[in-house]
Amino acid sequence: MIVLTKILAFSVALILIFAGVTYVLPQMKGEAPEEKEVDVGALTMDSFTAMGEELYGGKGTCTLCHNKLGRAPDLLAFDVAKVALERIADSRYQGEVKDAEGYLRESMVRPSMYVVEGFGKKGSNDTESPMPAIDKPPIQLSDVEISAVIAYLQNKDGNPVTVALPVKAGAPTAQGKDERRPANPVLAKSPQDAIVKFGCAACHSILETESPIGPNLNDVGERLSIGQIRQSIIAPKAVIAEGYPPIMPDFPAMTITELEMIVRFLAAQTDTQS
Amino acid sequence: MNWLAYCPVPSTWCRALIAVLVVAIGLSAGEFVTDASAASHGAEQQIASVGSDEVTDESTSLRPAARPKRSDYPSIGVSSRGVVWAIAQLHLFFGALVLAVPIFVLVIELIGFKTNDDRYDDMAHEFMKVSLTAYAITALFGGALALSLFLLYPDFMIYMTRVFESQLLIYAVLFFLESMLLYIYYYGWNALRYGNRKWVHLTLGLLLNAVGTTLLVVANSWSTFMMAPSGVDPATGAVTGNIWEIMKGPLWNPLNLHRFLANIAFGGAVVGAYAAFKFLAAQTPAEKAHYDWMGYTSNFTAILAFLPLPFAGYWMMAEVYAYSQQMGILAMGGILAWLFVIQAVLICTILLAGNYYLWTGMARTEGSARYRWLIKYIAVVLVVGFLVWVTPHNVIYSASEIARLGGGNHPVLGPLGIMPAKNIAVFLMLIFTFLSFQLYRRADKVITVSWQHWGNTLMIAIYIVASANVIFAGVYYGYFTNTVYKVGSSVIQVGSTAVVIVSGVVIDTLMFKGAKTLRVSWGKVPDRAQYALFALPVAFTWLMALMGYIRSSVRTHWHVYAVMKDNSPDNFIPTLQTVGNMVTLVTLLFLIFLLFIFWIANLSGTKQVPLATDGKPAPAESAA
Amino acid sequence: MALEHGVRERSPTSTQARSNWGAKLFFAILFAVLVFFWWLLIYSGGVTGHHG
Repeated sequence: MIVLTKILAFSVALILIFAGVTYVLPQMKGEAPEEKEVDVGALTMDSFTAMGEELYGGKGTCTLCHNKLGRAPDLLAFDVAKVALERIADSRYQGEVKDAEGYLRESMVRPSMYVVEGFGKKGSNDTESPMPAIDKPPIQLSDVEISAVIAYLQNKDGNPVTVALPVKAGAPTAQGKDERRPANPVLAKSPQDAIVKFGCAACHSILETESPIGPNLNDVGERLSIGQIRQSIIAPKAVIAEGYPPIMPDFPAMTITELEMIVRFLAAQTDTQS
Repeated sequence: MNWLAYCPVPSTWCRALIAVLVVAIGLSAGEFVTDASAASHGAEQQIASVGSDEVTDESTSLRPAARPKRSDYPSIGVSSRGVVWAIAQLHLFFGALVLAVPIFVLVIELIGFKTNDDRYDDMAHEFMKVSLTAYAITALFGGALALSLFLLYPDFMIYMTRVFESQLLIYAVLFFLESMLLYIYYYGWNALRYGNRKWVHLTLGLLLNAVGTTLLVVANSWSTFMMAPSGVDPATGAVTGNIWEIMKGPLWNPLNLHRFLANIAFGGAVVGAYAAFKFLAAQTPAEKAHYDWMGYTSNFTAILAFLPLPFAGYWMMAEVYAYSQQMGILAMGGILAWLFVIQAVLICTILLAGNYYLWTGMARTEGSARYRWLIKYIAVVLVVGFLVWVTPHNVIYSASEIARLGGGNHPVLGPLGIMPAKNIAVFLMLIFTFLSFQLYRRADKVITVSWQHWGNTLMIAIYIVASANVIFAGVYYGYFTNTVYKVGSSVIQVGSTAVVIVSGVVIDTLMFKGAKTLRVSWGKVPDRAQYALFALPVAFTWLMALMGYIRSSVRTHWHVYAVMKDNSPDNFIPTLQTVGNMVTLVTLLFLIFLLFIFWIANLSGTKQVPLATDGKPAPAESAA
Repeated sequence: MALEHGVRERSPTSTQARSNWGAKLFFAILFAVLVFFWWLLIYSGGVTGHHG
């Protein structure tokens, strides 16, 4: 019995030491972001930029990476509007905007359009950004919130704010993006449906449509094996057909069933038509 | 003894029957899974198997994850999160024990079989006794967990059951198999003791471990799906993939490896506590010797499985970062970062306890005297490593403190706060822990091979070069290259540590050929060594709960990350004190249940002496 | 030489062959278990990698 008591006392004491460590360290509580209704009609430019500042350090979680520790450019340390224009002019820029506001918005929803040197994903040679899309989960800022953050970023360096205040009529609330939820995906039933669903005909000649942007798919079954066709869809950048631009996107929403349907269909496409 | 003589039907039939049973068990699991994946998710199944009162509709779309409002969450008056947290963690503690013990029991049984040493076989049998009682408790907590989840988080559970479907039935079937195999393995121990029957017994143990491991990886898929969902539409959570896409997310195999190894380490530590308890309570020198040896074996198992854990953990965090850099940074650079400082305290306790047990254990043999002088240096490395590891990078300073420091980070200690310094500390601690092992193994031998001088020189050189590599790689990649996440150094550090361990084992095995063995006085070890054996499972348990909390908390306010939001009243990240309280609570509860298990194991071996003829009880109870 | 009930006299080589069927069983099951885990964890229904 004495043995048991000594063992228990020792164990409990050790446990309490560990617990004690949690007591002496700084205490922080991480609140979940609140889904606030923004009264759009009552917004002034000042309160709008203030909202942007709050989002920058709060729900947007920007400061998690954009800080002095070197994981992402420290946006508070330089004039973002000025630098935005330099970046647009850079040869490595892949996007389509023309002004600073557009660049700031694009860098939030399509961050890989321009990756600052040294900050790209390992092995991607600064072509892929590790930054998530801010308009998608888990951060999922609404259009209004993104605009607020841009307003804040433009304002903080003394630059003019070019974002318009959101208007009330038909305007989305801070939850707007959430309410306009994307429709649930419907699985394509046939390879033709799948090809239409994923928009292949936008760039490839297939199914009665002609397009010069990408290789002709009407005879792809003669040129590529099943494995090569599958690879072109799963990893479009792996092998680029000669003479064509490397712009084929990924299809993260494509299911295995749809993929196999398309692949089998394409493999059967040999040039029997014109 | 010819067991075939007892077979009611001719022997060939018996053999055929056994073969069929074994193959059937092996295939049935595969069959079920194939069936499940064939009847895969996707619109085809949804549309084809939609309820009988619904008409097949071409435009039926896939059902999204629910979006419960706060009022949709049932409330029972106490924090739902707290209830599920405690039950889940206790289930995981006992599940880990029950899965891990048969793994090293099988190995010990094999060793006993090969060396024809009954001690090993008896020890393996004794360990299984502990596991058997724990099994029932695991099941109790598992049932309680399922009930509490369905009660308190119904919308979430509806979604999860929709995602995993028939895989849940497979989980249930596996439990039938596990129970069957566990009982036959334990109760058939003495009936299947020698020769071919022993091989049958070992095969049953092997199957038991296979089923247990399958249970582990199936359950892991639920956790990893919640952290990094795959096979579902990212925007709505609708199931778009088959069960394999759902299970094989980026975090599944890292968690599988990590939990597999950690379970073994944890299981070893717990049975070590059992051995230590029995040692301290032992009355005879023979008993003391037996339990001392058992404690040594347990500690060996625990530390052996513990050594590769940092690599598995590293792989896991690397995959977390690759999946979502945000999640990774939240864990190690954001609000959860302090937890990794606490982790440092726990792991250093584990390493110090494991090492201390080895050092005090050197008292068992007089050959250890020549190595005593090294111990203080190993201790220094461990303590300094701990101090480096526990140094934080950023502390919230007051304005005057910042002025005194001249910046946001301490000029000298600041650099110790980032990953490269901690990598150096950890790998050096692992290398020197292995040194303790090596010294212990050498302590009871006098090496007689002619080339021992060269062998020792080589070994020393390997230690020096490996340590230098670890330090230089860490310093160079950590402080003189410009990426913050210093992946480059780790490969060299891991490699150097692995070289030390592998070469140490190989060189020693060769050097021990023909060595003179000195006497090892099992049982002649100070009592304080046993307290090291208690510190080990206590620290392991507390650490396991802590890391489990981190893994869960990294999802922040999501039930299923980025797919199903958590709108419950508990959807915030709690303070460190709350975490400390919960972890302490579950650890204490586990301790109480564990004592109950040890008591039952003890009780089952106790026989009351018959009463004397005058009705009075005889003087002493005998332990069978 | 009287044999036990149920035991047939066997030739020496077949006795040897039969006498270690236990080991063969164990290693056969071990192989099957390893294949099973390869199928479950590595092959996993042919699912390709999942990164971001």
